[in-house]
Amino acid sequence: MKTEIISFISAKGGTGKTTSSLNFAVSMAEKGKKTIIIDTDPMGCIGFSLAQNDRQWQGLVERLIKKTPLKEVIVKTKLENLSILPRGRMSSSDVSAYERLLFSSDGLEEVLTELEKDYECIIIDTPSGMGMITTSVLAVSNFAVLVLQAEPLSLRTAAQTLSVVENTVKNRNNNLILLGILVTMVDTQNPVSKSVFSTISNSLPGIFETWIPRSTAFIEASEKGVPVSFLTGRRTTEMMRFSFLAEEIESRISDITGETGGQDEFPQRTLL
Amino acid sequence: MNSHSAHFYDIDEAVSLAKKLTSQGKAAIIGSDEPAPYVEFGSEFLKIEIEKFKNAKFSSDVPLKNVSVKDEETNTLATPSLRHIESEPEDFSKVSFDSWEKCLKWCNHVMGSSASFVIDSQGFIIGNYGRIPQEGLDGLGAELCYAIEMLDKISPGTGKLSWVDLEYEKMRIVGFQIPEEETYILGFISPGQTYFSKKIVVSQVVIRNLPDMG
Ligand SMILES: Nc1ncnc2c1ncn2[C@@H]1O[C@H](COP(=O)(O)OP(=O)(O)OP(=O)(O)O)[C@@H](O)[C@H]1O
Ligand SMILES: [Mg+2]
Repeated sequence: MKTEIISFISAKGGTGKTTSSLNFAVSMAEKGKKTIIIDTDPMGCIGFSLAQNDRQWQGLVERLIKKTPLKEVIVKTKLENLSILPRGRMSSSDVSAYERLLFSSDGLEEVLTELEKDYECIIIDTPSGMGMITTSVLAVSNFAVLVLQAEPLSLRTAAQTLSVVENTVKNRNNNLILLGILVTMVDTQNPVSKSVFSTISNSLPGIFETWIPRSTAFIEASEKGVPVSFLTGRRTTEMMRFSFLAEEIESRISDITGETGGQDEFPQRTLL
Repeated sequence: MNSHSAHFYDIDEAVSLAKKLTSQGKAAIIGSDEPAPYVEFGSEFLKIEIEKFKNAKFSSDVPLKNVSVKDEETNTLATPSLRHIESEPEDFSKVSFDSWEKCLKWCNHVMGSSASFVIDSQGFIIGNYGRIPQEGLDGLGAELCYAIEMLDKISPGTGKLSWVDLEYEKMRIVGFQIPEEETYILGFISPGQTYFSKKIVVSQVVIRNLPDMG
């Protein structure tokens, strides 16, 4: 099986990239896939969502700058198949240097090459905006998931985000495929949100059938520092959304790569 | 439309881009020469930008405050310095390497390929770099070597074959046979879109460095 590298992107901030990529990662791991989520956002970060001190974890930064071995910076979770590669500890005054580093070196690609040996699914959470980090991540991803919040402003930025993807395909990575568009924070009580949701579902190609409602469950989960499916009590539909999404994404990927395991298969032959 | 309909800026553009970028439509952008409706900043431009940043200075190892760790760990907690930014050398005449490993790393970067490898005259892989297919490269290496040997015979008098570009339905494989007495073949899997223009540079640099590679 080939490792799939899936990045979650959006030009607009706060659309739910981190929430979605993390909960999706949990679902993939629960399905038995060896999964790692990489946090490339210099400002936000998975660390915050999981209620960890922002500076508790080493991560990508240490690997890139100090050449700390990956196994020392990868965080294993209590979920058997899920690991996290945190951003790492970085002074906020170094953000732009970090961006350039990711953009201009092969560091990220080297990290992925190493991770591909151990993981079947690599999920990359990106910062908002389509700057150097997101373009560097797209340059090394197989698939992109565009996260679109069901509100008018995020629609305005959809075309911008997609044109960056297009540019990456043209200039840096012609293997990149837009896997789909995930609509988040759909507020069924709010007519504008509903209207945006129905417009995009009816017009934009590639929308996932699974959509994420605006729900206090996500806020509660992020207060407790757990993925939404870890909350106690009855399993709510919010908790199940991401396992539906995982199924949908897996089936799109197998449609694209073909069931036999994909494009990289060559029969073993001997020459002499 | 009812009164709650939002104004959908750019929805048409988003629709057409989404169509192109999902798997079914992707062939269209890679193949199209259609002029973009905006100024295109190609990858060459970005390289210039990187050059400009190359010598920038970054804040140094300021120890972090408010981190609750034991004293002996404090040292490793310093923010790593970002001063040593690697950047691609622009002046190809100075590029040098003394091992296949370094050579492949450089080639992979310049070609923008997902993986690169080198095979000796017997068809054995003697080095590789990048994201190697899990099935390995041995079969591919041997077949490429054999195919190039066959293709060399296509037309007498044309000299030794140097570059082959194999475009399959699902991936592209490019091979470069070093036109020297001691034959090696470099293979590139899924090179970047602009790889064509990098052929000369790769040929020159690799041939120049060949004597230094053991
Ligand atoms: N479906 C949802 N319903 C309600 N709140 C949500 C939902 N998804 C995310 N949130 C909340 O919205 C906020 C932003 O979400 P998140 O951090 O996932 O977005 P993001 O796109 O990663 O943001 P950034 O651009 O800053 O990285 C968080 O406080 C999160 O808890
Ligand atoms: Mg985020």
